[in-house]
Amino acid sequence: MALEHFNQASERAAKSQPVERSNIETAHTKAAESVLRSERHQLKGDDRLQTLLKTPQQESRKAQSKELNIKSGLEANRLITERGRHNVPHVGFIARQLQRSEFRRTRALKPDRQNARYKEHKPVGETREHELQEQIAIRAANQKLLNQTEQNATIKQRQQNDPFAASLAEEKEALPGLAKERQEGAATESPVVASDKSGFNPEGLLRTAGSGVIDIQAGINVQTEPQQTLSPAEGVKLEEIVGPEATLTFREKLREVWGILEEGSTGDLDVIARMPVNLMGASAVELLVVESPQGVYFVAFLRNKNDFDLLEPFDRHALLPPNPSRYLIEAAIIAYEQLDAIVRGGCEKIGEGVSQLAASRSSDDPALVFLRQRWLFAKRRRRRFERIIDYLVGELDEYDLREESNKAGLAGAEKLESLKDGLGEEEQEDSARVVKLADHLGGQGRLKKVL
Amino acid sequence: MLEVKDKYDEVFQIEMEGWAYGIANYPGEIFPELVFRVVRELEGSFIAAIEHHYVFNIVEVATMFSKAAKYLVHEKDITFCILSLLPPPAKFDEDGQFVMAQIIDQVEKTYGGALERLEKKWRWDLKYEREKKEAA
Repeated sequence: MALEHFNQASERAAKSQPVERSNIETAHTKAAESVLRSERHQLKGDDRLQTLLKTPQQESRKAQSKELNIKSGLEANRLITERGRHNVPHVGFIARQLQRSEFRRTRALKPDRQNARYKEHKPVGETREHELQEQIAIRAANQKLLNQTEQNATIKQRQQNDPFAASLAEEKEALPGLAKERQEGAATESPVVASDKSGFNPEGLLRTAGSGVIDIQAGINVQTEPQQTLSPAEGVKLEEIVGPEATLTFREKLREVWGILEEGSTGDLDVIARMPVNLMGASAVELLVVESPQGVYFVAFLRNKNDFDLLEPFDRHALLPPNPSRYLIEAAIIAYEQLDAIVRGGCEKIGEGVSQLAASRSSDDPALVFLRQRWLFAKRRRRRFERIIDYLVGELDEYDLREESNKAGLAGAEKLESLKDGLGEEEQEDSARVVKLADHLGGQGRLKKVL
Repeated sequence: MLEVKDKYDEVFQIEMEGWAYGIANYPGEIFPELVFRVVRELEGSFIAAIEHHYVFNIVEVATMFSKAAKYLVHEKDITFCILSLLPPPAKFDEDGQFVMAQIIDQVEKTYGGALERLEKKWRWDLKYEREKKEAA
């Protein structure tokens, strides 16, 4: 009611004083632009400029998404603690939770009819402001396009330097007929590479192994058949988020872990979950759960959220990446719990097999000896998982302790800051000495940062 | 046809059935990465099978795991996951290489593209090892 009244009044005012209104509008726009300009001059660096270019709506969306992500993370934590160590939800559950929250977020952000109607009756000044915001958004889009072109130029440069990346691009651009020729060429070349040490010729062996002629074309057909991917509502392409260069880097890293990852298009990696990770001393790190066309999940750590130029390398033999977050440690615990559950079942079944075989065979039967060895190996593996879980639980406790001490350090730093405001020059020098001492004693980098 | 050493076929069969049982009786919901992790844990068993000249039916093993996972993971993915665990053929003797070739051939016949992918992997492995040596 009040809104309608306000709208009517503003319309009436607009009709009665059109000249004044336009003057006010231009003055308002000019003032807004001058403020923007001055702020731009003040700010240094691309990152801050990007922040400035973001509209308040974008900011609020970002804040909302952060809040939702944190909420879903907390919900997962709560479930973990409620169900206990031996019955915890797996990573897929967390990913789904995040996906669901993402869906809710996007649905909540869609402009509804009521808002659209409200937009129609907006006061003139507000509409101008909206136009200004749109202009800023267009400028931001242009900037993004420029960055994209720069990135493409960097990729080209990189491909010139790196022959491996160049071959990747070649495969991407190649026509089907040419690809076939290249594959055939590779099939004839590769045995030379493979036979560096032993003279092994896999193709030749395969032919002698009773297969007859191997259909290379069939292999190509398998590679080019449409892969099963998530619908756009469920997944986002990694390339859309991080850009082509970072995707290329990510694929290289993936190949380190999983050598069989298909080379070719970089646009086939779907991001199914995103989570802001608050690592100590690096708050802009983001965790992405990426799904390959083969249905394999990978976790990526984006160190720099603004330009996405660096991806944290991860080693499959390492339990955790350096400076893991609480989420990561918990995810690792869950993963090993799951594996432990399966290994326990497997051990039981193999144990049964050993006892059955032992009943019917002599003790020196080679099959029995080997099976017993495998069984013992599985049991040892189970114990190893238990030890790993204990270690990770310990890491989690340590992380909590570190967080607590950090919080205490920050509180102390804030107190010091408030004290510092009321001090003279000499006293400020003294406080600087105190900070140095604190830094030396506690290694509290944040304390230094705050002061 | 090479003879299987130490009756390893029996051992392999019991072991695989055991792991399939573990997957089938997993209390939570199965998802691809979990099955792949279990398969990765079995790397030693696959290598031992080749060393004992046992040409295991890779497609059958993958189907068994897929069935245990209530068909939530495709057999093809499991098959290629097992293939990715096989080391470069240089690690085996001549008989081992022959056994390995027979295993790869099964996948080549069923799905295609196995040899090509493995060659890529081996090339990468060689390159990686060379780089590692150079760095050291």
